[in-house]
Amino acid sequence: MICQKFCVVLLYWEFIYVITASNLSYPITPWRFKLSCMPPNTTYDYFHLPAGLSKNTSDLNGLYETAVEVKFNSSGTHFSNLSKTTFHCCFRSEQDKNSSLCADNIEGKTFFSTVNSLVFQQIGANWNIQCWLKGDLKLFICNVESLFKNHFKNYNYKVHLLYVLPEVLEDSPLVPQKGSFQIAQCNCSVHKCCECLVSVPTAKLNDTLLMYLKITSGGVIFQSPLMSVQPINVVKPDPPLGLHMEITDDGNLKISWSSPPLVRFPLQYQVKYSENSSTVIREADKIASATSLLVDSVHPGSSYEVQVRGKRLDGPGIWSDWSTPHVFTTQDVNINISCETDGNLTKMTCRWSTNTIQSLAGSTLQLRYYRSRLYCSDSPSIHPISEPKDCHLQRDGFYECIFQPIFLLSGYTMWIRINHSLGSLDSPPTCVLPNSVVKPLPPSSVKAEITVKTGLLKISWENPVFPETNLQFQIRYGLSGKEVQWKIYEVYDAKSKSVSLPVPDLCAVYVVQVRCKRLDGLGYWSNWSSPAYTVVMDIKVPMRGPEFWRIINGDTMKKEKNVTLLWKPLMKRDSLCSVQRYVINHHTSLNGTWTEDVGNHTKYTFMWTEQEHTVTVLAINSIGDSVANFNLTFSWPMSKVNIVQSLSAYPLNSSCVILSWMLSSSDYKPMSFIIEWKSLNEDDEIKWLRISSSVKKCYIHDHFIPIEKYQFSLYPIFMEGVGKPKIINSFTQDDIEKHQNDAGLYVIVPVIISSFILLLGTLFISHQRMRKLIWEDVPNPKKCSWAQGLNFQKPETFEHLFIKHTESVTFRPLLLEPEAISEDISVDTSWKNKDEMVPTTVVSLLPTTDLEKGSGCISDQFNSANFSEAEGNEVTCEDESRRQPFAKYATLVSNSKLGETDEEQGLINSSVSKCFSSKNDSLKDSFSNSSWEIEAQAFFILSDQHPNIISPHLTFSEGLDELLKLEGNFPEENNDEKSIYYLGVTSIKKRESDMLLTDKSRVLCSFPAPYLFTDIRALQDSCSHFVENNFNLGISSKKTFVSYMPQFQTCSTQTHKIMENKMCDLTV
Amino acid sequence: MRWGCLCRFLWLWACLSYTQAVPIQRVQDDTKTLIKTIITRINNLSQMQSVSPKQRITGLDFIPGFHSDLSFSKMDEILAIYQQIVNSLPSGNLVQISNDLENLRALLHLLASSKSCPLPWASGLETLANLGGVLEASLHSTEVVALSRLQGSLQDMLRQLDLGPAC
Repeated sequence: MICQKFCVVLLYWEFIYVITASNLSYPITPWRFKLSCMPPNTTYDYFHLPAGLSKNTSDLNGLYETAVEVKFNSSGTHFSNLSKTTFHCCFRSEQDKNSSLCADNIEGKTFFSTVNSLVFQQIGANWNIQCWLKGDLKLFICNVESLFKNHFKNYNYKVHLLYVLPEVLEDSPLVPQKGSFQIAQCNCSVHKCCECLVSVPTAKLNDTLLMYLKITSGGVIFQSPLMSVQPINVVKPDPPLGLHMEITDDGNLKISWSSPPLVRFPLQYQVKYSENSSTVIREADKIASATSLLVDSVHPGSSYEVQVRGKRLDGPGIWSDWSTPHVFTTQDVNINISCETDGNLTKMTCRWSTNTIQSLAGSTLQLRYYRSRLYCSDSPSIHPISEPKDCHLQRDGFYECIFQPIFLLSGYTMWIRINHSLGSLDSPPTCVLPNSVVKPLPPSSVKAEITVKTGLLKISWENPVFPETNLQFQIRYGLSGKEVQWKIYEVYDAKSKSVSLPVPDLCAVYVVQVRCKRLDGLGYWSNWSSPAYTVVMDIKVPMRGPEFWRIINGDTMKKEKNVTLLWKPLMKRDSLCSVQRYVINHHTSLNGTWTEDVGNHTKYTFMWTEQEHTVTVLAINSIGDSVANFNLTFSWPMSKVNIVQSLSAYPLNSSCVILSWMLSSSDYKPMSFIIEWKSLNEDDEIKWLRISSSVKKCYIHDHFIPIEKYQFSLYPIFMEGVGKPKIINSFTQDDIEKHQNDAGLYVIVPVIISSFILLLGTLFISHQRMRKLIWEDVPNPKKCSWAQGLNFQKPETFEHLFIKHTESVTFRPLLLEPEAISEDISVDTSWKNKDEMVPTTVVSLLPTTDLEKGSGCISDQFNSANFSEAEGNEVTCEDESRRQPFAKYATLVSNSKLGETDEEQGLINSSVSKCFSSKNDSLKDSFSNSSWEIEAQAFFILSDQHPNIISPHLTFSEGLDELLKLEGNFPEENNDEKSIYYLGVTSIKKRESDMLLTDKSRVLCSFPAPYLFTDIRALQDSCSHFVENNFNLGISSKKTFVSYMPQFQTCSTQTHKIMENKMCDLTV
Repeated sequence: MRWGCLCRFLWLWACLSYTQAVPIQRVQDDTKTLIKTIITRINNLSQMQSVSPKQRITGLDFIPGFHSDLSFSKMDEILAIYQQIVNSLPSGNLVQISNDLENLRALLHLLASSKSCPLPWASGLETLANLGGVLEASLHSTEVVALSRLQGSLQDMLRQLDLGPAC
């Protein structure tokens, strides 16, 4: 018992010793500090020790430490050797990091832990601690936040604040006893952030509060050094409320707020605002003792984000939290004001629009201005003394303000003030000098004329009265009309008051306007002056006289003829610009020269009596006679000079005819030609055209009717007179016929092509229909009674088929009676003796057509085997096949013996082609009379419908065996094939090797078997329905068959023909 | 005296600081242009009749007449008198001329300051206090004579500006 009391006393003593040894307590002057507990082996880099200071330095300034010894009583072997670990816990001010030091003061009492806390041993533990007194001065709060949340996640985390509030700490010789410390409530959140609340009586706000923290985490109990604080010194008020911003009448931004409630002491405030506009981004902090702040230089269109916080005005304290940010956007009032001074320099009109700004409801706009004595400053600013100006809203949405009278050289600084109940805002000011924005009056007395003789467009004007400065001018002119194509001419000579311009058409009416502007570029262009028009008048003498031609009336044999001169009225561009009258100059050798005035007429008739008579037509206007004139000499001798060798007229289309001619060599050189044409069907007047003598071809543009006849005449014009013309009365025939032929060609070719296409289509359709009909007419063997249930695609079927029928039906009629073509080579063997037959395999291709009619495949071949070309009356196989199908027989004669000896049989491409009789589809030939024997050869003819059923590489016997094996293994789809053929199998006792017999020629064609089959193989491509099958005839089965193969297959006649030729080549 | 110098200096400084960016050549051109403008304005007045500036008219001696040699100060003094007279005339269309005269005087002061000529603002004639009586007696004549002589004076100034007036 005594021992226990002793121990308790000892513990108390140790605790008191810890407190006293701590050299008083940690004064909480900063409102935020850090508690760090580190194992002894850990360096103090974390605390940023200044160079030269030891970590064992005692008597620390701003840092207090206690030691926490942790005893690990772990059951794990890993920590068995860690019996005791001492943690050093230090306070550190965040506001004074560099000066923070940690002293090794391990005199404190240790605390125990029974939990494995290697984490703490390795990295230590840190907490952020904030302590303050609330603004209501009633509640002291300490906020403890762990910086290593993850490590304590699974451990029990508790925080206790132990405090004592002694009356007067300084007067007490001893620190409070442990029992006098009270435990404050600490509420921890999920994020290991604990808030400890201590209620402080109002009377003790100035007293010293002693406290320390006991933190349990991960089974380790950390205890902070003792802290001391006077609550009144760490007052942290609530953030200000009611943040508000407005624009004052002076254009400043006023930020106002209200102090937090229940604050019993004056506060100071810190305002933080940032301005963000398109031009300026700035941040500022300002301290204010009042609850408002004025910010000048407010930019329109900027946004301001403001926050405010408060702190005790007198004495120490802690800044409150920032108030919630408040954003205020100033109105963008960048209003453009444009002004214009009138031409009399007495009035300046300024216009501005609010379309560019966002209108604010309830706001009014006012233009204010300030007039300086002279000129504008470089950077206009809003002057405190300004005058309003009445402006009136116009229909176009612009406000218009008129200054009258004006000070020409005074700067008018203007801006728009937006007045609103919340305040007023001014637009950026602009300064206008009335003298610089003058829009002059347009030049007056503008005149335009085409000058006589020189032929230039002369424009004259008078300057406006104002301004007195030098002016530049712009002249625009163009042909008068509805839509004038203006040309601009600029005059920079201020003294010039007229200008002459070249124009292309001197006899047209031009419209001219002039405007002006200050020469220095200031101000605006004046309006265009009133238009001035030129007057068309004679500018010069006519450039030339009219072109003229003549019509000669009267008897050609007579020497006196009436000559009528014709000419076209002279155009303005030639007459410059009018013709008052025409004058005819006559010149004859006898009567000399005389003139006749014909006025404005364009026709004149005179009597041609003399050998030569020269006339000239002159055009006369107000200026004088035409300078260059045409003349024409009528001369009897010259009228017989013919230099035009030929003349051709080619109609190009209804509006153009090409006229070409050829000249013969002559001593006379024509000056020009006159082409004259007229319609012969109507009494149209003569049309004529003068062309140069160098031209050999001429395009005449007129309205030509193709069915009418025209007369074209070509007159050579010599110096001495008019020559003999070349006259044609119609267009050149060759060309017409050619065009007609061409036209016929254009019609006929499409007709032929379309007919050909139609014919092909008809043939194709008829072919399809014929094919369908023919195949319908061919009896289907499956429908026969004897063929019911048989699969003709299987070789065994045929064997059974014929065995079956030998009992009831004689074999011969089916195999057709062989004719005595060659008694030596064809031996028919009955089925009864098949076992005794010489195993000879002969494959015969048996034509079944009427051989006499020369149709069919093989027969044709043999008919043509006389080295004649194919019969002329024969139709190609494809054509025949369209008419009639017919069955073809094939005999497969086996000679096993020979086949055994002959092992050099190559692969045989046996093919089956469609063979049709051209005239008769009845079977004519028997097996023997048209067969040909091949030594040790097998020619197996199958339909191409089953090319895959029979292996193309089967030897004959093996192939048959294979085929037998394949019985019943035919694919189902093959049974559905429509093209069925019969296969007859027979044997031949006696073979006739290398002999081929034709039915007509009865010539034995002997040829080696390989050639035949090689050729046949070569022919396989020419027949579209060959099936490639290879058999080795050298190995024959012991069973010998006499094959019989009536087939519904067609073969190209051409193919057989070629084969025939090949065969016969071998016989020669 | 000291205050006067100070005021003169301040005025000069104010003028120079405000219009320092304006080239003096432009000021001269604007001055001549403005003189021509005023002359043209007077010419355009419909009731304007030509009166010889040398012709003496009894009772209108206060209107400045012909001066051969004009300094800046004299010009300003003459213009101040004319401005005073024009402002007194009831004709509405003379307000623009009065404004032009004010601009012209400011330009002359600017020119004078550019040549370091101290040029106080002339206050006009004190004897014009009884101008109202004169105008009542002969309004039209006063207007005609005043504008005619103003036109002549402006032409004199125009010539003098080309020669380079003294301070």
